Amino acid sequence: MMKISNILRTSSLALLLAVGNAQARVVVIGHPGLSKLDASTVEKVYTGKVIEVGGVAIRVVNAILGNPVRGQFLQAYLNQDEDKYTAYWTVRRYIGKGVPPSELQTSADVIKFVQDNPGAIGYIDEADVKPGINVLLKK
Amino acid sequence: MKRSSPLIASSVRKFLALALCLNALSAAAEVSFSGFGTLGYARSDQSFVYQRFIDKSGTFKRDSIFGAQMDATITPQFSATVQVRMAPALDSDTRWKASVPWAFVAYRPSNDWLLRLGKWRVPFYLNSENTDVGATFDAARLPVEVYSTSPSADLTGVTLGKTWNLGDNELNLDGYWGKTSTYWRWYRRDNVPGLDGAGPRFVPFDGRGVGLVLTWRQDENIFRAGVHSLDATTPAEPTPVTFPFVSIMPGVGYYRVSNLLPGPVSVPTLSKFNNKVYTLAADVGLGNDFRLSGEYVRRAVKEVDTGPDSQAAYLSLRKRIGKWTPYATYAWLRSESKVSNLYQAVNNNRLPAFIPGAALINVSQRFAADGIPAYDQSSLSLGTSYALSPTSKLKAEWMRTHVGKVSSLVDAPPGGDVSKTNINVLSLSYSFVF
Repeated sequence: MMKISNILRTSSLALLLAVGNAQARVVVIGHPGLSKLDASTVEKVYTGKVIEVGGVAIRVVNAILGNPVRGQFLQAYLNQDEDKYTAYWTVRRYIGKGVPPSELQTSADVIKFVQDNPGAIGYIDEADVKPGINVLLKK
Repeated sequence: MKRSSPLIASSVRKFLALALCLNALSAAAEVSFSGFGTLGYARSDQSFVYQRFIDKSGTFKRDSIFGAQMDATITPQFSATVQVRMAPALDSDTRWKASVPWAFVAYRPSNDWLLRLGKWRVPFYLNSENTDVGATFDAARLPVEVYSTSPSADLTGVTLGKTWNLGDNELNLDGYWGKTSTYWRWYRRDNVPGLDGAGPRFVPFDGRGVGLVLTWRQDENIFRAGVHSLDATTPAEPTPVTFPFVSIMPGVGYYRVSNLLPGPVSVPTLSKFNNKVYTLAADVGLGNDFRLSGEYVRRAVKEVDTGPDSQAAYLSLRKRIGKWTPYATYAWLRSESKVSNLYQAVNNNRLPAFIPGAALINVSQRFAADGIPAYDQSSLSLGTSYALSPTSKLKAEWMRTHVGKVSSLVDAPPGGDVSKTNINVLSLSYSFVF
């Protein structure tokens, strides 16, 4: 019995670690100088409802479709899945209210874009955050 | 060929100009291209035609449409959008035609203001702007009783929108002014020998519109109200205000539907008349993935008795079950009594055969009645969409339309009418965006 309970305990710990790893935290980053954002503003930024934050015109980027960070971001910050987000932007595009944020391949691409472009906002895996990166929101 | 060659040349010129503009824009902006389409088949159980194309031989023309859109983001504040569309022509039942329903530049100086200049679609109804993009809604066909009440909502002009963020809710006020040139389709049942033939006619009309639309968004719920005013001008032929009755003897006479017919009083006409359109709409979640949507439209035409003075509404309940979204919709469209009374009076008027020229006059009465946009119909639709992906849908629908006294959405057969008739329509379609 002891052995079985030990195995179960070890398995549970491994499972918890695996889940924790799969749901690594995503952080929203911005060009140096952009002020911190609240969750509501991040949602508006990624649904095209705002084009400026604190008086600064923003340029928003998404991770490319299929990148797991994108799915984690949508779930954590917008409470949406990919299907719902795509459907939202499909309607928005065809009512003439804009297009979804452009997409970048890797966290390195997002970091470079955000560093190079004033007003740029993106998101990356927390593990990719390096010193000097302006984290706007961490959930 | 004489008519189509200048048309083709004009279309080619427009597309070349458009291509040059797109090229210039793409060099200066972040450009994204997208496309949409619906391949739709519809078939009824009647030999006469409903909604321009549907009869028992089946058609792909009623619902099929293809388009492409270019969005250029020049700066976060400035953008431009051009949409091209290939669909059955508005001025012909046999041709397809490429058109540019959208071509506008947008300026958004702040989060709350949006100014658009150019050609765009007025948000008359919940799905006005995206009517042509079937992948954005679940119905196989948006209720024609409501969505047919504005024959062209594509205006060229200016629109200004203001947004108020009220907590998690949003209030939008959109005002617009614009003009349009399009066609109003009539269908004549009978020939009038020496005067005009049976079949569809496409009367050009110009419109100048102004309006306000208020939209309240609360989570995923939408509530909308609009007030619109459209001055319609028919340059080719003025619109009769009414048809004076010419009495021959007690209880016998005819409506003077043309000044070619004898009579003491000329047919009063107007070259321009005003349409006021009032709309109410809502799309709300009921919980458990049920959604209820409904729209009401009052189209008020006070100046003429031969105008589309009418009311229409629909109520639709749908439920998302995984990839399936079954729905049930009930819709109705009815003309105001002055219009339907005039239609019935003119349509049913018969001179006795012993009166000289009776046959010709009788045909002229029905001929004129066909030109009155009179409606009395309702529809029940049961259907479902199946989401193949977030960007494509298969749809199937059965719709039963009941025509009461008359419906100008039906091409009545020669010599007959379609009152008290049921039309069953089966529709299948595939809609996509990319």
